[in-house]
Amino acid sequence: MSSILLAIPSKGRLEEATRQVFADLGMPIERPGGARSYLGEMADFPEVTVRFLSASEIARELIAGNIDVGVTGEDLVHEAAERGINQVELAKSLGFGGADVVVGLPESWVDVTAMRDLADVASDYRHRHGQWLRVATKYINLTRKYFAQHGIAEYRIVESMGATEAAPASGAAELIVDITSSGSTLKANQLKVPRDGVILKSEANLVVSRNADWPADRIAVLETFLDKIEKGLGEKITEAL
Amino acid sequence: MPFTASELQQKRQILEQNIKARGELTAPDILQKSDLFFDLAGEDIGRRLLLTTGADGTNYCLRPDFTLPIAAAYVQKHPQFDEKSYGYLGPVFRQRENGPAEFDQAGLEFLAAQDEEAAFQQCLDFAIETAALYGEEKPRLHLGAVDLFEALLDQIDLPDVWRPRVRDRFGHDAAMGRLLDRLFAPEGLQDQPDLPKDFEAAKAKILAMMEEAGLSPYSGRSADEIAERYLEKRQLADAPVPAATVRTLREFLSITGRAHEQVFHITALAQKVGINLDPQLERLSARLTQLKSDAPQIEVEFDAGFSPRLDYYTGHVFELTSNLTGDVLASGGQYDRLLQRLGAQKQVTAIGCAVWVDRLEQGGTR
Repeated sequence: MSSILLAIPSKGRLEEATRQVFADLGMPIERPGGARSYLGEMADFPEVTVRFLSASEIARELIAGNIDVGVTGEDLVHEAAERGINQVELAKSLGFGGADVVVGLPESWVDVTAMRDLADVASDYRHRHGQWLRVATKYINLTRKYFAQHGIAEYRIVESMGATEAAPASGAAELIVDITSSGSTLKANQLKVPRDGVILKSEANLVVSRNADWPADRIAVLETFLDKIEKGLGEKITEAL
Repeated sequence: MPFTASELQQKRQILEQNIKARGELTAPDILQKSDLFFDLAGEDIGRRLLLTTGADGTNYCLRPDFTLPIAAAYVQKHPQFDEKSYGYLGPVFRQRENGPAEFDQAGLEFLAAQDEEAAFQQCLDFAIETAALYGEEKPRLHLGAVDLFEALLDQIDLPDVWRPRVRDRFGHDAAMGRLLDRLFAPEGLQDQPDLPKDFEAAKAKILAMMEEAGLSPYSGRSADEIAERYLEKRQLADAPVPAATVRTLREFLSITGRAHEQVFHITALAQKVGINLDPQLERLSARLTQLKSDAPQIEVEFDAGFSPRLDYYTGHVFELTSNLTGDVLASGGQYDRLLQRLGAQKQVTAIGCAVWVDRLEQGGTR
């Protein structure tokens, strides 16, 4: 019997919310070995093998084609590879894990209210200081793409893996690109978002890998599985693959 | 394949001879420190690099071009700026839409050239001759002149603070278009915080905000520059840049077509606006006359808005495109600010070109 591999987030709110979604759909996911085990079961759908992984690993493995279907954030798919989003099919938004990838600037930059202001500032900064304006972020691909869209070339990215919001105060960068769900972290650090500074509205998604091996028998399993989640979804996605 | 293996080999030999006839053949390391490229060209070029990290954390890349490593090595080796001519032939590495790619480039670099017009002509001759070697007998030449635009920008009626901003967008049509739209019809100040109109008072408010956020007053954007730009935005909203200035810039940037005719258009525009572009126009005319005698078969198009978007370019720039496929076969220009950016104490003449050997070798089948 052929099967497909489903990866879901292994901890925290994302895990809980994902398991809730599948439970509500009548396909509860068990984790027999407890929180330390990375194997799961979907008793009502034995053709689906469940694996627990970190959300960013899920994004990477979906792009590589090592897992077939996964639950992860759209932002993570963009960040795993520059053109990663083209390697997958976003099947369905799951209604949780909502967060925006935004540009964050010091509130004291009273002259900057839009990205076009930032284009001026980047240009001025280079002439005035002889240095590039620095942007701290872990979202390198999204930042480069968005800044290029706005014609901003005079900046450099400083890679930041944590506490990005502190970069302006610590002097590591002049501004940031980061993810925020409520905006409270930005506010606490006296950072603001220019009015067109939302780069991506991200949400947890059910994502199907284009690069996985999809012979007819596995396509059939995928189609049945997706149809259980939403009627008609199976055909729509398998046709797009 | 349009060429057999032995034809390709033979052409390579001729190409190498042609390079050596004009400059000392040089081969910078394939593995380069990536800071060199990021520092000069920013993230736009950075995203094209093939990167790796050393065990000590130093970042390296595979050379994405020859010009920067050759120029950087020259600055180190020749503090007296001796006149040098270099040539190169070998692979460069870049991220492409479809993944990483390796391809061969051939080119020339004339550093601290005494006769800059002759050096530029050498680059054009080399590009045209190499294209012809691979059967591209009548490529089109696309010519631009950064010096013309900079001279225009220096003289038109525009607040000084806008001149570098406009310059930085030269070569990027969309970004330039948006900037000119804004100059023409400045945005209102709707979501702008309401600060005092007095510079010192505005600055004091900004300083207080910076302090509250724990921002250093000594690094990053200073309260001075924020206050200046804030007040400048208010002024622009009250008194926009003269419409005639924006019209002149737009008109200039849209000038494109058969080269000789465009010289007349620019001359007329300069007269109408009352600015002096004579030295730059004379230089352009001389270039066109020279081209007509050296390469009468080549159709020359002048495009006033054409430039690589790199602020170290200073003079004429060109691209040679195939009239079979439309591909760029060679590009080059004058970049007198490059050596200074690499640490030279003064501006030094630099002129060079790069030929896309892979494209030529694939012939019209690519």
